[in-house]
Amino acid sequence: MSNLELFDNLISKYHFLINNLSCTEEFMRFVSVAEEERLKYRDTVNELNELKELLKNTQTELTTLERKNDLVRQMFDKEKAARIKAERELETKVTLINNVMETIVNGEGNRISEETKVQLSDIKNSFRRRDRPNVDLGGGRLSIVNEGETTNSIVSDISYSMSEDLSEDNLLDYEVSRPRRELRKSGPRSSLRASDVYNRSRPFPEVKHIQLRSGEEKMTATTTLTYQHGKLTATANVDVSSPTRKSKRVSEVIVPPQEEMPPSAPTQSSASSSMEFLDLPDEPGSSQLSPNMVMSAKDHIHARMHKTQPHKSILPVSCNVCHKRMTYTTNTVKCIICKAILHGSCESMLPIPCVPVGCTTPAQNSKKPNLNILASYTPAEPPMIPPLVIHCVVEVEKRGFKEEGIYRKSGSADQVKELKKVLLAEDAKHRVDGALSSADIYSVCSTLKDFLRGLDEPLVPLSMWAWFTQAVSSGDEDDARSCLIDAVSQLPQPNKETLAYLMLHLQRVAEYPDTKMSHESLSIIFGPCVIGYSTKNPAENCAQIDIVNKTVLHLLNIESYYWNSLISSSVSNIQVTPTSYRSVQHTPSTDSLAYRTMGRKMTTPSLTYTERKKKYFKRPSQFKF
Amino acid sequence: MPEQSNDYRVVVFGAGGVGKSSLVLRFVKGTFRESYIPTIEDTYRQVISCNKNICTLQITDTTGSHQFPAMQRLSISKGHAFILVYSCTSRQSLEELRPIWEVIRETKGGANELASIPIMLVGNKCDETENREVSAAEGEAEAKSWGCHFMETSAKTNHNVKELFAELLNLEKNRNISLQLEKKGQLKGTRKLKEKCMVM
Repeated sequence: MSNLELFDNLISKYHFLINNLSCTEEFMRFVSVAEEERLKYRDTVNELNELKELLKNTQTELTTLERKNDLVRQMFDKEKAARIKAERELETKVTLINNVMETIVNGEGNRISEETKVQLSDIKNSFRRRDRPNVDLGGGRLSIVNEGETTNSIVSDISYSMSEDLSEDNLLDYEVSRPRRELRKSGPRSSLRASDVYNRSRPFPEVKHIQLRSGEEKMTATTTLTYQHGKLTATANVDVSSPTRKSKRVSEVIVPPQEEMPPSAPTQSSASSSMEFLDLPDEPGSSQLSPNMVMSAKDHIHARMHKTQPHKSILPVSCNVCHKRMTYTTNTVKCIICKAILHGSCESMLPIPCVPVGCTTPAQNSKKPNLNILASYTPAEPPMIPPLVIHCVVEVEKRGFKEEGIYRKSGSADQVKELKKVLLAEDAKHRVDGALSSADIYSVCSTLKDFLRGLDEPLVPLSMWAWFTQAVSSGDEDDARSCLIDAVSQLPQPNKETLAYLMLHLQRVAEYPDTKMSHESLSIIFGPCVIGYSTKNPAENCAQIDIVNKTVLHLLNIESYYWNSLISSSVSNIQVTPTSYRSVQHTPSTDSLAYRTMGRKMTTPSLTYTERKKKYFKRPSQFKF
Repeated sequence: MPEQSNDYRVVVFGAGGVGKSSLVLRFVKGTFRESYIPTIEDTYRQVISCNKNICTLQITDTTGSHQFPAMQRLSISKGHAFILVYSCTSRQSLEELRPIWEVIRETKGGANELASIPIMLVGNKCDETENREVSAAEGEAEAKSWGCHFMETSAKTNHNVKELFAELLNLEKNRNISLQLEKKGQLKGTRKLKEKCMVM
């Protein structure tokens, strides 16, 4: 048995050995192939290592570059802020220089030499050129003012600083830019002082002091404006006290009014520089950063005139002013904007401003509850601000600035209900003024709050809620500001303009210390009205309160001229978009852009609200003949 | 009716600017601040005695501008006791309280149950005698018609502030609550409480 097995084994081994030759060859071939592959593999590994090294280097380089980029961006942001500041300063200074020029030329026209006169007008022209909007403010700067050679000029060899209050609460110090060389020469740096804080609430007579000082000499310019019987008298006193100069120049100029202007119509911003003395804001609180921007959006809205036309009504109606009946034969006029109907003789008594009526009323909307949005209440043409808001704001600005806790204390619920009904009614113009002036001022405030809160969506639509709140959660003030401006610009027009109007109003409220309402307090009150909450769940709302209020606070801290520009840009007949704002704007940094795209991804701002619902007549369901 | 937990929640309601925060701050911290900042919602905690155990008194100071009706309902449903504050210098602020009281009545069920809920009507700013618009008698009458208790206080002069909270806790019949951490065996009641005050 074992023998047989052994034999079989032997036989198989024999066969194997017989075929061995080819086997070995095969094996040799395999080995060589394997060797080749191994070499290839080794090469690849080497290459991989090299590439890894390269990648590492590149990454390090990239991080360095990124860091540098961040640094540069930061510096850039800083520079931009500085630039904006400088631009603003520049603008105010330009205006001031113009004013001073005017004073000098008018005040001592026959005293100064021809050469100086020519130079002065040159300087003035150089500034005027810049006053036009859209001129690149970066070009030229003040290097145009080449005063270095004119040693006999009055303004040339005294270091020349002056202070003038543009608004009561904003005492700014100005220094007229001059060639640096001059400044260094001129001895001890002059002291800036507000020589006279004049009270804006008394428009005339107006006294303005400008003091110029240098080491040895002192120059005081006093302009007095009096307005009587349609004539404007400007008296300018220029006192120069120096050891070498004459000491006193007095002259009187009578400037007739440029044109007959309606009493409440704001001055055109394009008025020549000689008229800029007249550009006095009629309210103490209206702080305007640039005196060029004479007509703010508020002025435009609050001083809007009525546009009356003869009107014939077959039905007897009552006059909106004197409430007497009017028949077909009475001399009747109708304002085409606010739809007020009145006697021709009562026209002068029709209260200003003229507030255009909204296009639809909630009475019509009540059948379609989803239309309770801001756009349903606004007039069809800009500024698209609901009449209720304008009425309330006008009333609050008339009587509310002295009231403690305005907007905080709540009014009577009944009165609020009544006011809301009157203000939203279709024939609002009939009773609005009486109802408003008889109502408690706190009720007026509550009405405004109630209206905003009662909308289906707050001023900031829910779709943009995340965008607004994320803008302020980054922590960086500048970023938050620019992000918010960015977000505001994407709002539907009614919301944007109403928001701007409201913010301007609240900023004015906060300026009056009697109200005791700071920006912080107002932001707490208006947070839910303006921004609202992303959900209806009260528990979640609690968590959102802080961020909502912070957002409103940031909105309130955005300068008023930005809000002004929002409203005025939509109003075609005024061009007050501040050039400084147009030319330089803070660009959001990388972080904030990330927020923005995040916000966008989640929500698309719904712009459909701007579309007006068309009124269709109901088609009869069946025709019967 | 909220469950009996280790918390005893008191909610302070009232119109804007009547001095809710001032009252609460006077009671909790003993201070009076002159600043004029609207409240969103603040909660203060204090340890008190309840059924001879320690429990937390939670005082919720609400916003006066009734901006958040949803939150108002939430705090009403959670609250055990309520302080309705008006300002003696403003009739308006008293009228303002009626809707709040109605919401409490609706949320807390029928009249029977309402009687067992401690509610105090408080006329604050009683130190401003020259500006007074609501007399104490009127406040008292209003409180009677609502079936709740009445007190006039002044957070500024610290008049009746502590007494207000003591009285409120006294009104709670389901539990034996008092401001002081009582020793064992002590009885409840105003007299006891006052004695304790004197000892302290």
